[in-house]
Amino acid sequence: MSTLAEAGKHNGDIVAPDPQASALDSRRRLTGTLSRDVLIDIALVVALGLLMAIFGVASSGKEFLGTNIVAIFDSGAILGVVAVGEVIVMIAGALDISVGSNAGLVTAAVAEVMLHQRNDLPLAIVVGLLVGALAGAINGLAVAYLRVNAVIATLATYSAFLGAALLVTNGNQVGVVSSFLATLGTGSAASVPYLVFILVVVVAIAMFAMRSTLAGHRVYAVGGGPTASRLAGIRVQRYLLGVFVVSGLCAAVAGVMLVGQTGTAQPTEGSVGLELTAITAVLLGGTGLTGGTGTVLGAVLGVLVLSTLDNGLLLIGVPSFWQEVATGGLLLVAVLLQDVGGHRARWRAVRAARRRAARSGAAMAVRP
Amino acid sequence: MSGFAGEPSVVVARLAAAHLSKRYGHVAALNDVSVEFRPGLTGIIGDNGAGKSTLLKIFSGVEVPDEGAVLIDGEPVLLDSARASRRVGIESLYQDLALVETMSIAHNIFLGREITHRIAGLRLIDRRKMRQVADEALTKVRIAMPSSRTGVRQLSGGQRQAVALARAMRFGARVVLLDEPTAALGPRETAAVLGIVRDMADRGETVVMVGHNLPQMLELADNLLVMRAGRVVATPDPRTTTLRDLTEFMVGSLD
Ligand SMILES: Nc1ncnc2c1ncn2[C@@H]1O[C@H](COP(=O)(O)OP(=O)(O)OP(=O)(O)O)[C@@H](O)[C@H]1O
Ligand SMILES: [Mg+2]
Repeated sequence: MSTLAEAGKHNGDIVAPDPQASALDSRRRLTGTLSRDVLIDIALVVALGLLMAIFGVASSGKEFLGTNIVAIFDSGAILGVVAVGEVIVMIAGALDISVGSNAGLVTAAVAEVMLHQRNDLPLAIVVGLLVGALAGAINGLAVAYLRVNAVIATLATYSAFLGAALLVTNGNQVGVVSSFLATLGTGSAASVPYLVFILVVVVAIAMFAMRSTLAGHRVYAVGGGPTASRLAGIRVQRYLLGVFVVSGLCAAVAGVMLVGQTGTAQPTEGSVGLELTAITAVLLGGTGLTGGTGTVLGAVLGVLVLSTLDNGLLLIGVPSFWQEVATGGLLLVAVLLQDVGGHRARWRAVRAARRRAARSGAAMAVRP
Repeated sequence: MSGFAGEPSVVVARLAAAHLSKRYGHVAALNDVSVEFRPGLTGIIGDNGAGKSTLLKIFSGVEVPDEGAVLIDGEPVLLDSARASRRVGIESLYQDLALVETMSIAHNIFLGREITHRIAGLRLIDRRKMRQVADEALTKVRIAMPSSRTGVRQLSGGQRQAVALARAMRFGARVVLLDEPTAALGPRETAAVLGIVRDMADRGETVVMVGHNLPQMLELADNLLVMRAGRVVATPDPRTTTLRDLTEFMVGSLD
């Protein structure tokens, strides 16, 4: 009997003003979205620390902690910029599969401009960013205004952008001669690679935009409740278009970084596959597929975990295909852990109810 | 301007419709409907499929009429989106879709009308101010509510309606439309929500509520509108009308 009364109390019937309300209130707040985000960030930082410690010990060298942390950030920088665009799209409740081939297309555009416009680097970069943003706008128009499902729309443009990149470059790798880009892609200041600086700037802008600006706030609203947002007078389609343009711009920045790092246009090498790793990182970072939740910081921490894993496994000599397996396993575990909180309470309640029923000899179901 | 139903009115109605028609395929959901709504609570009743929701959806910009016009203070307005409807001062409460589940009460109250401040040309949201004002607005609804930081996902049906009502009150809507706001609520929450609705009407707002509970409507409403098969068939005075009359209007044989 007392358990029944207890259960009633927790069933959300808090209409009557009661002194317990505020306690209930703070308990609820603890399980709210905000603190969930913080919990996930903490978990990711802990996971990062653990991975680094394990690889540090396993490679029995101080070399890991010194040079490798830099290497981890460096190899994660391009992926990180792509993931920032991806997480914003996913917070808005959509998905962008085309980011990798978009980045590839941008490298091709940069290379072609350099080749035909006498190495005019500023022009090449501007054209590259425009191509990326335009590619994003095509996705956005298809999803927001033609109402094509985001997965299908960006799967289509994934192929289209890749094809366009191959067309532009005739399928060849095109060398890019630019000492500035080369320095950007491979140089460093105070042993911090320039690519990492770019990542930090992109992340800082994105975090600020998503947390503090009206536009960012509404991206969360649009992702969490598109219909409610529309009925509240928010121009949902514009925001959807906007997040895809931002994602395209991020892919473009990543493309320019890639040209700097490799000195060539990379229609396939280095850019294809970025989208899946980016989506993996975003999911690791606690952003759901249903929109309205997640953080830029979480996605970036997800990227760092992934590149630590790659880097560490490489360092201790694990064959590279195992890295893929480890990445997949990690994603599965992380997503399961994130969901378990909600499910566990129910499992526990169900088990307890079954035990009580068994004790009291209650019939489990009505039998004819 | 004079009234549509033939009776001349001195004061121009806040919200009115002239000769509205709306068809879905070959169903005439609305058939030449002309109505006026004045300050106070107007109850709309009618059998299932009579066209009540369709009428409200046209006012809230969700549906666009095939014919006819909506008038605000006697002026025709084009309501081609929820945004347009809101801009002329119409606030609509939808049964289930109007709140963002992933957001807090405060952010839902300010959805689409966030409090911002401008810094260097950027519009930044003011979370604290929104929370403060929301907490204040929540004290005016009659349902006990947790703090405005709580996610709406954790609220009961009545509390959700109260959030939506708090939103309508907060922004001083000229017209508030409610389509069966208590349909999914228990007796206690129903009483609380109807109390809020009555409060709004008493403050002189124009409140339009669709409902199926006839005794409740008779008791609560200042004016009644009976719909039947896409038409307005009667506008009885709730003080002098009986339940039997209402039922007769709704489903009785047409004379
Ligand atoms: N989207 C739609 N598509 C097709 N027919 C519709 C649509 N919406 C409403 N109708 C039809 O229009 C008519 C009026 O519907 P409406 O929803 O306005 O009725 P109602 O008076 O609100 O009924 P209820 O009391 O059951 O809510 C009905 O015959 C309904 O089947
Ligand atoms: Mg209806």
